[in-house]
Amino acid sequence: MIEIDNVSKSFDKTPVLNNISMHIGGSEIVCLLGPSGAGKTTLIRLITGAIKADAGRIRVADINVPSINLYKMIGLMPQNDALYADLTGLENLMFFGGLYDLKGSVLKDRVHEVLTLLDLVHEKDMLVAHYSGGMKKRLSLAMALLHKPKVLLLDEPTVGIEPQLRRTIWAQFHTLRDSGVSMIVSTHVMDEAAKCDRTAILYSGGLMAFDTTENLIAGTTKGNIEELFFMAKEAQL
Amino acid sequence: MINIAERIIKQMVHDKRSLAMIIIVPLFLLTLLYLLLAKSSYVPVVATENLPASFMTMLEEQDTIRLAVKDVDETIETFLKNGKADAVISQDEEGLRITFVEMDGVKVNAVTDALKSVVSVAAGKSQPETNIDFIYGKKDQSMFDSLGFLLLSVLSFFMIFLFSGISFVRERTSDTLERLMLTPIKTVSVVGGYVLGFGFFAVIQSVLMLIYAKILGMPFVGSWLVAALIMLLLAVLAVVTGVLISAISRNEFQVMQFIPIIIIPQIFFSGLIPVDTLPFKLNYLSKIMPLYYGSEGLKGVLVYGYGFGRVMPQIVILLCFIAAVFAANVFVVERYRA
Repeated sequence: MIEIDNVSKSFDKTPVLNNISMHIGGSEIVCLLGPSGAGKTTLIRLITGAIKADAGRIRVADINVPSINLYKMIGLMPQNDALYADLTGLENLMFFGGLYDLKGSVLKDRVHEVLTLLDLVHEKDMLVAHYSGGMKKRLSLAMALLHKPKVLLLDEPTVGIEPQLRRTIWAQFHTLRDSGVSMIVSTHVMDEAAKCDRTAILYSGGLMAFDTTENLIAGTTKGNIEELFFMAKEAQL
Repeated sequence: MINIAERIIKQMVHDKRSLAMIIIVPLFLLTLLYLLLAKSSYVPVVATENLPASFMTMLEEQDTIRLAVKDVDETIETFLKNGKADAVISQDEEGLRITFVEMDGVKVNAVTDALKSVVSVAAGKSQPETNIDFIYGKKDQSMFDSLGFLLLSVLSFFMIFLFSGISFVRERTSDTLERLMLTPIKTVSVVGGYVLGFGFFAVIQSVLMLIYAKILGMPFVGSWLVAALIMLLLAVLAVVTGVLISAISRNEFQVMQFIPIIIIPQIFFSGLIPVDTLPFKLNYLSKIMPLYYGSEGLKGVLVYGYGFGRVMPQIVILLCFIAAVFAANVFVVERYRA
């Protein structure tokens, strides 16, 4: 579903991603694990088509990125919430739903579904400016799910979300995966990697490891994901 | 205290554009005002009616005016309204009379000075009384009455420019623009949506301003509908200009910095200083300024009572400006997609 081949990207001559290659199939959750500044967000923005790679090629569903034909297929939850603070949660969802050609009762029903899923039904008529950080995250995630995309790109989706709801959200991610959705979830939270099918470890713009999360853990001496970080750092040095 | 001052200086040094603006913009505006307010070399065109031959001969010798010939069958009002001269000097039972289209300091001073020097020689001590008339406006009218049309055009442009500019830059800084551009929406729809959204408020603003201007006693002889149309076109142009400026600005502060460059020079050229008597042929610069056409159109409708047909050129030019800036917007906003 997502093919990333030899992709590099620099900002102001500072390399941010260096020769990254990854192939991600349908019905798969891939975790981008790495510390802040590793290049996770840049990789997600490259896949969405928000920015262009300096070298290499990215294809989604056999279509070269960037392409306007892909926008309907991709659901994005950016790291910054990217919400209209002077609209209510419901108005934000109705606006973005309209951009994906959802109309009338279909739009209303879908908005209600995502509001319920993310436990925002009671806050839907509040201005987003009055939302807490966690509520904004949930609304942003609701917007990414709204049009039932085939590819979900989620940049730090569960930051600020309380554990109970986080569990519900991950259950929903697994349901989506089982229905054929490809997902890339960036995180620096170690235990979230365990919930993914495969994990890519990014460090200083390089892909240090990309394998099933189980295999990666098995390769560590202490048997935990945290150690992968230190191994990646050592490999980089 | 020193810490805060130091921090502000450091921030400004890091923001090269702001630093340049603080230094360059005042110098630019001062230079522009120096040129605009210099002594005008404009030579008014003057026609005469019923003047003694001796006056005519002496007027012809004046190098501060140029004489034009007026058909005897044509009334002074029609002659001037058709733009054939700046003034007509005539003589009636009350004495000498100079008729101008409207109050314009440069023209009035040049013609009255020329006439004074002729009269002082020709009539000696028994100088006839000289009356000055204006076809549009009165000698003692207020600044508000004289420049009302200018206020309407400047305010309708400025307010909407500010709101749309800040709104779009917020769309960028809050990352909603990137999110928006990663949906299937066409770029032309993004810009068009801004025009429609702010256009809705521009219609309300135009109508309210016109009603209130009428209540305040602003000269208003033409069609409400045509005046509102011109104000609406100015507002639409303000929206697309605001969006364009925001698309190339990093924050609200940088949008504000464009006001002295985009708005203030246009105010100078939109009728605040009479354009056709500007020195150094600066009047040609007005041709590239949309506010000039907006003000000309509004003045035509409100002061001269022109109908739609007479202000059609200004309306068409404003539409061309809108189309050009809209196209530039689509190009610039499209860059937010890879």
